[in-house]
Amino acid sequence: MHKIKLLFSLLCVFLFLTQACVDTYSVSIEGSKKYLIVEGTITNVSDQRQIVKIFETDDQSDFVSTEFSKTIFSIDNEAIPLENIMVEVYENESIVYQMIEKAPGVYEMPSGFFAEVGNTYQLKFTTTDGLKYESSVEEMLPVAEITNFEVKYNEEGITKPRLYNLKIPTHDYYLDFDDPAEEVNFYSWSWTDYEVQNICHTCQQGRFFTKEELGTATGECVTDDALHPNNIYDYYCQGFCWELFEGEDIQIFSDVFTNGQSQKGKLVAQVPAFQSNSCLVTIQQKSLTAGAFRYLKLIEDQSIKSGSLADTPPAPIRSNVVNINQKEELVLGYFSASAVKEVRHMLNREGITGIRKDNLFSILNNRDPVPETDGDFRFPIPLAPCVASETRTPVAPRNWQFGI
Amino acid sequence: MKKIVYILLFIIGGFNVNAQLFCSGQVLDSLTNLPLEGASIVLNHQGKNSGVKSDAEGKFYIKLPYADNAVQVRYTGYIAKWIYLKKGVSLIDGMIKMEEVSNTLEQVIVSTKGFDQNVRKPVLGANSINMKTLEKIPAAFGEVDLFRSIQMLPGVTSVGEASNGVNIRGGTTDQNLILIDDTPVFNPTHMFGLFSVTPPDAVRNLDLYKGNVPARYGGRAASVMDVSLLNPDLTRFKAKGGISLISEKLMLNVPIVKDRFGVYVAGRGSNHDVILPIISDELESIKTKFGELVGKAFWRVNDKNTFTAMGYYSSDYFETDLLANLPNVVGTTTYFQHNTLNGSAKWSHIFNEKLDLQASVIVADYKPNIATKEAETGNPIKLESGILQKQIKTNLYYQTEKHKTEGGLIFTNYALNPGRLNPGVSTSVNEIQTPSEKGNELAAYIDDEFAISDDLAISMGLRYSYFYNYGAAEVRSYRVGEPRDDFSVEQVTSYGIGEKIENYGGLEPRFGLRYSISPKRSLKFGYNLMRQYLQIVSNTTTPIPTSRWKTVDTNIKPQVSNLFTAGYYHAFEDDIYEATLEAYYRSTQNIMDYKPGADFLLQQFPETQLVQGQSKAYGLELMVSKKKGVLTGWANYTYARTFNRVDASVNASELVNGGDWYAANYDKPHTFNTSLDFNVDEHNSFSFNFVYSTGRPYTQPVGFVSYLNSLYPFYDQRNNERVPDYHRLDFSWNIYNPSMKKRRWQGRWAFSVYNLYAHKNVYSVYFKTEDSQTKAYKLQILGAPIVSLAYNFTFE
Repeated sequence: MHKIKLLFSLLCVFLFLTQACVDTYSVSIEGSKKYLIVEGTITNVSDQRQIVKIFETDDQSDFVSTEFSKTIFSIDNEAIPLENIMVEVYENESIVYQMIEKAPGVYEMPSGFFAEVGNTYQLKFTTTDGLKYESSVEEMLPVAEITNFEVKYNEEGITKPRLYNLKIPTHDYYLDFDDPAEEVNFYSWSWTDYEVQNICHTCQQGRFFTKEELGTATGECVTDDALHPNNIYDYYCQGFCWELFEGEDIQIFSDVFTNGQSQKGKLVAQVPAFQSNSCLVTIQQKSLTAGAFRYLKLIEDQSIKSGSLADTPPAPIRSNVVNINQKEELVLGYFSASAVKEVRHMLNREGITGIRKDNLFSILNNRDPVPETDGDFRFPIPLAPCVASETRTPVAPRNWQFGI
Repeated sequence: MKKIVYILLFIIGGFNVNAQLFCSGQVLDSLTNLPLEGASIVLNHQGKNSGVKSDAEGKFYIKLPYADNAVQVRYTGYIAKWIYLKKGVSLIDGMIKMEEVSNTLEQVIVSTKGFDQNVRKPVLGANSINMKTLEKIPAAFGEVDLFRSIQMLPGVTSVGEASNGVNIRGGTTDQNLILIDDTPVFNPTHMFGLFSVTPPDAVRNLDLYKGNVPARYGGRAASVMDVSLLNPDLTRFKAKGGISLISEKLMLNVPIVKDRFGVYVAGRGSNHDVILPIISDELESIKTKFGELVGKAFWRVNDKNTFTAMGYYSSDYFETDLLANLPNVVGTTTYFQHNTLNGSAKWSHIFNEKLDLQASVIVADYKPNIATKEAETGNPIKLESGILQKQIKTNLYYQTEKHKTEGGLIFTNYALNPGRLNPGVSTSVNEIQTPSEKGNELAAYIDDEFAISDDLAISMGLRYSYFYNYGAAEVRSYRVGEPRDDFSVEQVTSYGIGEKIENYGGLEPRFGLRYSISPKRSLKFGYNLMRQYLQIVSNTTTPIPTSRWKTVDTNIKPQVSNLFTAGYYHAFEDDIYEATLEAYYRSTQNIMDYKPGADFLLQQFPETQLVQGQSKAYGLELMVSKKKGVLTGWANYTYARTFNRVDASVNASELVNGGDWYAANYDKPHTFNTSLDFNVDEHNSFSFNFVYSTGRPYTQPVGFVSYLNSLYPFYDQRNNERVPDYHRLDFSWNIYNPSMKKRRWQGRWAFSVYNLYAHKNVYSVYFKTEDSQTKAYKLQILGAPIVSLAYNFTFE
């Protein structure tokens, strides 16, 4: 009995160090103000779109915790794009580039623009209300080469709440680089995984018809009342199709304690083993300006590393974009410039047990594909085109190796 | 129950009305024969009280009128005694042996410091709490805890259970001067706030000054917590000790030369983490150890001279992979470690019964560090820091019938190591040393307590303090009107070793007034000014042990606090009950606040991370206590607010909440505390605590933005919401001497339940984004009832 009491009390002492004393908390936050969001990074990667997104939050949007998982969401959390405004980027404070609106609120640098290390970039725009905004002048600082990388299979992997809490093994990428001694360096890392996708369209209570069959601009689902309302058909891709997965963690580093030293084994990516097909993993090592590093560090401290016994009270994270007539206005997001060094690696997943070939669709949708069956209604069953989007491309990514 | 003691010995008769009558003697503990310093000797003549206080040797002297006299001797925690002297009779060198309350049914609890009761002393907001009281207050984990217990007093709060210090009347934790036997303590807790660093067996009492602060204290802006340790018993060998679920403790007292020279050592240690992996695999990575050791020697050279030497060591080690690593260092496990080594030597000399002198030398060495172990080699990369404070001080004390006067000089030297990154054998991390900070502080003070008439008494104190910092250092000046950063540097000035850089100073008046409406009712007013030259710069809700301390310098101005207090005091039913009502208003200049994203680690120019502002705090404290009887205890209600404002900067990014007033992290408007003790019989007592307070503020996001496919919160106004209210009930059952026999070995069992009804009090609310989902969480430190059992013993 005494021993049990002893154990119980000791457990309590140390409970505060574990997650056991942490519960979710329900909140309801009413939006009351509009905040401008400006997000964009100029890089020196030639085949990467150089875009700046300009949106504003909806002052009517309310954020609430969901009943069951307590995940915070907004029923109407659609940021509103700022359309048809003049957006300019000043290079070295002299050359002006007009950005072109490619989608609502998404502005792209003109073709032929190529950024270079050592140049400075500044964003300027005027809203339709006549408000003038300017970013700070951001220099594209050089970045160290990735001297080596190592891939380790991690059977434990990660749990993805968004993918039905599936535990997925990963391939972990570790980088080595030599930090230059001459200057202060700030780093960030991002990665993209290109996975082969072979299902390109899904119809509920309907069938897919191509644009040629319909004579329309794109192919689409045509409702068929003869089918059960819950009936689902999935359509194979016409040609190659790649699904893009991007690393979602903020990964930053400063050489404040390590200036001029070789850094070994920095974990920068955990690529989920969705399927046994080979995939292309690109890892970017980027330079950051001090301001961009500070901005990302604050997001990290306030949103990712929060929950310690001695948190830093959260504070407004101010953008480097300011309303030049009203500097106290809180603007969100950051405009910056980064030099990039890249690793593009064809990852061969052969020999790994427990994962299936052509499994991407199943793992993303938590069910196997249901193709329309031959013969009952029509033959052949049409194939769906791979429509390019933010997360999908029909164009083979650079350095993709077929047949691996 | 009153005990009447007739002192027959040493009384010299006499009916000579011309001779000055007096009563003199020595106040001693009845068991230990130790002198009791500060006992009240009160004479009631024609319905009016007058009195004196016993000195360090327990001695006192009071003049008597030509009348039948009744002199009362009182000391907190002891039973009051009466001395009756017939008309014309004096008492010379009487031995007044005071019996401790714990041996009887009667007890005295928290009381005002001083020779007289709350009602009469011209001082506000001063409390004295002794070890006997502390032992009865239900304690978490069965560990008697000074800093947790004083939170039961009005005006003393904290940010929660894991707070590394307390907030007194709207002050930050580093605005409290914490002294253990005159030596400063820079980190008052073990294990991130769970336990106090005071060795329970060696503590005699704690004096808390949250209103009028005597002029002999200075250097902090809000309050003084003066912990006095016991003096060694010169008469006999004694052992004291105990065991609880957390720690073991032992104290040994040895009189080396009887009545002349004695020493004791007392220690407490906790090394129970070996059991953790048995409880849960998750706890396997946690290693924690803490402890203190104190030694004290007392030498009575002769009747006029005594020497005291004290050494104090405290250590804390805490390792886990559940805490964040040192930023920008690649590693796995992180540990925190902090050690304190303090020492003091004091000489007391008595010139005559009116005048005595104390001179002391003090050293305090605080060394915290945080280290991250590299994964492959296990090599720790350490961030080491430290404070070395040296002090010399003298104090003269002079007492006459109407005046109690003291004055003195204090010289303090500070040497701060703000941070050294020690890479050990690592090849990927550099050794970095932030330049050390050095400064000297000189202070002179005089304090007088003067009874103008029976109705009116005042205390007047004046302190002058002067601080300067000196080189070697490089000092930046910044362009006016621009944010202080690396880009607005106007000039860098180099100072050589020992060269004076910047100085600050000023007068610190301390004033108190008491006006008696009647013998049992009084009104008081007080004013205090305090200056602070050394402070913590940390932007966390509660400082962590490794938080950086910083002296003022060219760019960082000293904090100056003005406190106004007023109070009404009423004792009734023969002083069994007492009610006090105090109101205060405090305004502090140059408080520290932080730019968003401030980082002080190895920062050579912390002024680039700081902004200074103002703070205002006000409150009303109502306390009712019952001091004697089977049921004793107190209840208090406090209404208190604390607001800060940072509006000095012209740069929008440096203003907090746009330069408006905002609630401080520890702003809790309503607090209700009650602590009750039932003395059932001489072997059993039951105690209860109930605590309620408004939840403290936290910052809730005003919306969420999507970045890298994740929803991240964004914030606008600081402290715009509050965590749920805090409340808790504790219980303890103390069993004294269960064998019920008078033996040299006496045991005491303390069974306690902290948080009896298991209320999950929220320590903090925070928002976290994981795997592209954002949730709000509440962190609860002690969410379950904590049952514990402790055994303590004394052997005499």
